[in-house]
Amino acid sequence: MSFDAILVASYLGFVAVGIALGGIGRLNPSFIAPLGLMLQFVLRHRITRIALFMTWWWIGWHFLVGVTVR
Amino acid sequence: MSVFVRGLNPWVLIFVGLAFFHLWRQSPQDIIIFGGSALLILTQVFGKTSWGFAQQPQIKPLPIALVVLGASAALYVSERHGVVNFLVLVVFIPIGFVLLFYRDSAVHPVPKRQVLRSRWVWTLWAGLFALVELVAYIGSKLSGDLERYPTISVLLDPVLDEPIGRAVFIALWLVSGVYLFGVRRPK
Repeated sequence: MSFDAILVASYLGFVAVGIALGGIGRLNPSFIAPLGLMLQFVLRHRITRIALFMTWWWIGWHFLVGVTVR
Repeated sequence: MSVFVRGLNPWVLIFVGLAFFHLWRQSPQDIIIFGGSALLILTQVFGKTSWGFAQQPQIKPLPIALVVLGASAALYVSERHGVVNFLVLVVFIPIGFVLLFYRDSAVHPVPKRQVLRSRWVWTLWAGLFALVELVAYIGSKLSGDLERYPTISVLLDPVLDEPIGRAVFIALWLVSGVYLFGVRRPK
């Protein structure tokens, strides 16, 4: 398996794990809290709100406005 | 010092680190974005910007839907990397700050074990995801071979140049924003 295939598989794997974690949180909240509940907890801190907002905003900026520096 | 480090929000280190990382990458836009964000976050750490709304503004579903639909339409029909996309993204900055620049509550309820576990699991997920992307980025820089070491940007760029790819990205990005910041989440 080539290295690029490993990387692409890793990216897809992380997406799949993320979806699975979201599902586990909803189906079994006694094991891990649902994502919404966890966000409600971490977003009580303004630094986290600023950081998460800027991270989300930058993703939009990076793919829709900015040109990637290679 | 140890009390300071223990009480330090990890996002402070992440954003200061990202500002230096983009300085090393020599990406001017990212230096401004992450450097500016790091400075804003540091003003929070040192208590320089403690002002803000008493609580999060509660927005009705209709204005949220109108903003999301309007932004989706503008981003989709306009040229990628164009002026309209730039303006839409810039307008989101003040909207975000109005929604999120409220003061922290003086008392934080103790989280349940499941919430702490969820935070660790999601932190690990995001950290490992970022690490794999960093490996790809460093590999591509050292070898100059973007095909052997594709970053997410390299993989998504051609997808986003297609109308359907851009539509899916815009929808996911905007919906995730509404979800992440819990504009309608019960407190």
